[in-house]
Amino acid sequence: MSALNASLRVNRGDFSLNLDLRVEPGESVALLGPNGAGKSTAVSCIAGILELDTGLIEVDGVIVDEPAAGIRVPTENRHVGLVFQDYRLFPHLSVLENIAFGPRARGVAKQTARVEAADWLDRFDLSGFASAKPSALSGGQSQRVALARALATKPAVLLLDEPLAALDVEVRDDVRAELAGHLSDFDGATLVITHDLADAAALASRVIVVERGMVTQRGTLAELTANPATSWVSRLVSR
Amino acid sequence: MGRSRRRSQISPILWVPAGLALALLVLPLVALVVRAPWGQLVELLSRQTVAQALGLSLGTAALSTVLCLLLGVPLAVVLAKSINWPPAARRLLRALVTVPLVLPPVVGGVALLLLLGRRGLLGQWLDEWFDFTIPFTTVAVVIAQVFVAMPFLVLAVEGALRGSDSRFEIAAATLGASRWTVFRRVTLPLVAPGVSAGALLCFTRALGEFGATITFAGSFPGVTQTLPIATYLELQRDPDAAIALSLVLMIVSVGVLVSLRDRWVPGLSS
Repeated sequence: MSALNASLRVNRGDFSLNLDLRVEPGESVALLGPNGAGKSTAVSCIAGILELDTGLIEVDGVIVDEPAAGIRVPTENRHVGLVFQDYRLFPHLSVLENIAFGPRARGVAKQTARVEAADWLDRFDLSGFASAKPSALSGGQSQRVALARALATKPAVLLLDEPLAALDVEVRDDVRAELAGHLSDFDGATLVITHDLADAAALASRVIVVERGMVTQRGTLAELTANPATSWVSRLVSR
Repeated sequence: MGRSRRRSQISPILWVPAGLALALLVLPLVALVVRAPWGQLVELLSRQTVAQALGLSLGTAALSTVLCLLLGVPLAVVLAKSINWPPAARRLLRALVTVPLVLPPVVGGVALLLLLGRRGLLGQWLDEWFDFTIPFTTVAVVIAQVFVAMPFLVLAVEGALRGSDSRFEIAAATLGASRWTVFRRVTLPLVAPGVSAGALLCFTRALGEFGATITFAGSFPGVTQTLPIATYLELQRDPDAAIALSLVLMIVSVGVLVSLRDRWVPGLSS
């Protein structure tokens, strides 16, 4: 059983998304494509922020969206974690409370949630920032908190939307390596959205290339490099 | 550059009416401060009628503010979420909320009497079924204050909600938060400055309420005689006491304005 199984069909005026994908537990897949290819639309659909027109989304064997069958599980009841490109840490809550937010929202007792959150902070090397407000964090630290916050809800599927795009170029390589380390500990399915080959190489074992809402190539990074299917892929790998 | 400099220069012709306008706004308050019986202030404010009115006003205005928060915040949420309604319905709802803001308070008092008076639309049933009459009680004071002060709170909170960032609400939903949890733990804390600004304005308006109160609640010392009403009555009996009371009301109002200086308030933001 796949952790994530999706047939995404969305039509918005002159844009349409037509994307099938499967991610197994413990596997990490990159959704690679130029800006405006529909990657963010795909993320929004899987997280339940956008509705499908047709198709199906299955998380951990449970159908969470299938318009034809009238099924639509709201965002808060899908076991899908999402790390936003702009992190979206709650500015009025401390770092610890940000991480405890998910478990508490899912009914974990306040004290237990705080202990769990402190544990995550330890694991992510952020113990010193427990009572700090997100505004006091650097970009890389904010990203780690956002990841810890998403993982603290124990999702079956973790979505990372351009996880490194908001960072300065100088710190990007370090943060990427660190992120890869944390992701390797995660036993759910990971889907990384990116337009950057380096992200796909470091964070995923398999790549799905999306251009103008359509899949143009699937395979490992080595296969993409050896045999680029489109001019965009060939330009990307020859850079 | 020369152009912008010329534009920022103020013509002398403007100074005269602008100065007059400012004088009209400020000089009365200066007179109040200058003529205040500073030496006897403590003695005047501790007199029974004065102390009674002060206590009643602070108590009822605080209670009115709490009621406005409990009822007005949900109304502000409805108003802020009415974006998808037909425009006519949205405009009507907005107009209904704004009416007490432009209505002469005495008209509000008459209207409240016609609704809740002993023979009013609802009042006659309250009287018949529960033997309960509202007019000329402290309850009437609070209702009159809520009627005039509610729009301040609703419009301030609605403005804050409209300007708030839905990105955080979406993030909260992905973490498993129900709509109520999102509202309680994300939306509301993020608009807290707007809520507290609205509550302060609401409190000041309730504290200063005169017309609707004297019409609907009358002027019974200790029961419905609030600070503004006591001030008006004392002016005939004991002008010094009236000035002292006015000073208290002015200090509270100016204090609220100062505490709001940078907060977002409709009509006051620069």
